[in-house]
Amino acid sequence: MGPKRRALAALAAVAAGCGGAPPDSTPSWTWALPSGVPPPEVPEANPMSEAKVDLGRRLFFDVRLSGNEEQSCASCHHPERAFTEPRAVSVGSTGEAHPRNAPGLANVAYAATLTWANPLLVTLERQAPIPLFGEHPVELGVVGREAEVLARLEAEPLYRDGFARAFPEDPAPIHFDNVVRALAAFQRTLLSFDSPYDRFVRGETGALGAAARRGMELFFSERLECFHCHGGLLFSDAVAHDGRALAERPFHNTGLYNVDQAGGYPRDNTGVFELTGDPRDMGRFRAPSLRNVEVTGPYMHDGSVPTLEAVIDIYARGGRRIASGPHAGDGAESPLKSPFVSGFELTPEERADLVAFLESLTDRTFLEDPRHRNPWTQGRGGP
Amino acid sequence: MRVYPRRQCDTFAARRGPGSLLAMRASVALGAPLLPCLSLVLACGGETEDYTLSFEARAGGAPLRCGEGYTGMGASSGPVELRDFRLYVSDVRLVGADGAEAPLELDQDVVWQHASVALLDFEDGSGACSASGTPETRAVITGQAAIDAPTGVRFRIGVPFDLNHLDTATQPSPLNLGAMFWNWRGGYKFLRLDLRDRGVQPPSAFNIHLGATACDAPTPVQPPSSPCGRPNRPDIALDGFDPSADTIVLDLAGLLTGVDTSTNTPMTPPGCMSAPTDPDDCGPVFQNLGLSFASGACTGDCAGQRFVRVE
Repeated sequence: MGPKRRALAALAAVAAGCGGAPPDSTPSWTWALPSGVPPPEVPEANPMSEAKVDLGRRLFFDVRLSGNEEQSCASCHHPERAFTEPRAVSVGSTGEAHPRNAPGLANVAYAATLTWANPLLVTLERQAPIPLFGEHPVELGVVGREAEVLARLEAEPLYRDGFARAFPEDPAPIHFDNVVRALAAFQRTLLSFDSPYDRFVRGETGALGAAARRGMELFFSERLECFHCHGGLLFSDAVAHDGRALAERPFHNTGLYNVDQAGGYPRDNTGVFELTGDPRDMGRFRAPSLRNVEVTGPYMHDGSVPTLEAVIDIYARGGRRIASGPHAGDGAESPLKSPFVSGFELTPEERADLVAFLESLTDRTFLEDPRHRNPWTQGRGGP
Repeated sequence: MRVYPRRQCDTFAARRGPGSLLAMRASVALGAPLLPCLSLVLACGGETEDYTLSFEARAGGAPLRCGEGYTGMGASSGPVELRDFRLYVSDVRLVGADGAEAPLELDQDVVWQHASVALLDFEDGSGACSASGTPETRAVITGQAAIDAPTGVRFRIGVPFDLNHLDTATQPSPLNLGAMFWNWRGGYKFLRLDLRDRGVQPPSAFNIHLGATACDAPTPVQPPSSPCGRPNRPDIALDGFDPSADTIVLDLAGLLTGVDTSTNTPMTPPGCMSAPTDPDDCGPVFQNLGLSFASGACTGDCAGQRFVRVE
């Protein structure tokens, strides 16, 4: 028992003396988190366990989980790219293009909302059925082939054992509710807090070079305003974790489009508006985490910006101008744009410094972690 | 006239959920380990009264609500629309007729109040406030003070230095809100008032973010080692205040006196985000808060502030 734990125990005793509640019993799962990182929220109905995480990892990388056995989750979420992919928009198992870019899964346990623009989707358990069963567009294409997919899982000895160990109370554990629970548990272990930036914050002053440090000043300045939406633990303002009593679920219009002089976005990608129908929600999307942003391009909800430099130029301009074509319009003039996207001037050196800082958010330990890689050594699994 | 029953010691204890351990953990880090318990002991001692301070956000005579437009605010013809309004209040004291001050020991509710800091929240996350807001609102501060029949109240807008530069990720609520934090160096937005002037096309954002500046941390991700050069925490003193009958009014019309929300100095943040480089947009706002923009301290006793009053 370290000094801090002793102090806590002493406090717990005092609290008991005051008539407070007894301390929680020891949890069966321990989060391996660096100091300064709070534990994520875990739904009571889906507690963490090693067996469940192992099972979820197998399922995540298994093409048998798609209707036609062509794709797994990992087909669009590549570990070495912080679980994004290099395509602008994803293509489902039946060849249908998705309107959106595959969002990264690093630290997804802390995401206040899942996917790019859905205020109602707040747990991974609710999100996972979308790629599994969604039909508009088809992603994994399980709809109509549920029994077939489950039969495939039943036929795999590693699953018969894996589901039984992960869900010991369930007499017939191989079903989609448990598939979803295991996938969620695995994704909650995708923790990325070991970038040069993190090491610098933890006191390793040599972890950031001069350019990255200058870029950090720019990033956190009122001149650039980056941190208003990309601040905090995840470099995103849409964060949830243990101890948060007031849920923040923000979405922003960044002036990426203005197809109608009224702030409109292309019809197949209108953001929160698609769900609420509220004109003020047009073009509002979740600010993605900037951790590992160096390897998560192309950028934006539709993958329409190829490089970090191009992203910075759009924000410097205060919105994107598209000169011609069906999406022509000047996002800088959008009446719906966030007030924090007001534009700024950067010298080429400053832009390079800012990129150097963003690259300091790359966590090589995470990207190369063998625990996040395809566990199937032969045959059926894998992207 | 509101009547607040005297809380029993054991019900107070029972109200502390599992989160109280969190609060205590944070207190350990702050070097004030027994604060929650101390206030409890005081509450059990029978020497204190329960008090609830009621606040209201207004635009002149009208209640301040998300998305509504208000004309006649400051130097702009408006209308000015509300998009966010929250503030931290700390160091609350009640004042007796003899001038003696008694600190209000805040209830530690693990949502709105922690240590000496309370969050007031006048946005409900709806419509125009949905970009940054939360559905929950809060217009009261509750606690206990060893005083009878107070006739005045004193408090600061802001978070005290020793709580202002910690990591939001590990702080208890309400000090873990991303929307209210800048970074370690700057600390919290003491007051966040996001406005949009709809009198111009396109509508112009005017955000007032009050917080400490000129903090001596070497990088934005490190806390300063000594108090910031410009603390920017207005001291508010209100007399003729009976907590059981009166309301503390926070008035947009007062805060915007002489402020033109329809324009913004080019190449500065929209509105006033307390930046030392933004004196034109910040000057009148700071004056209305009773603060010197140049020093970040009260001008006089902040007695010239136009933002807060008793009704």
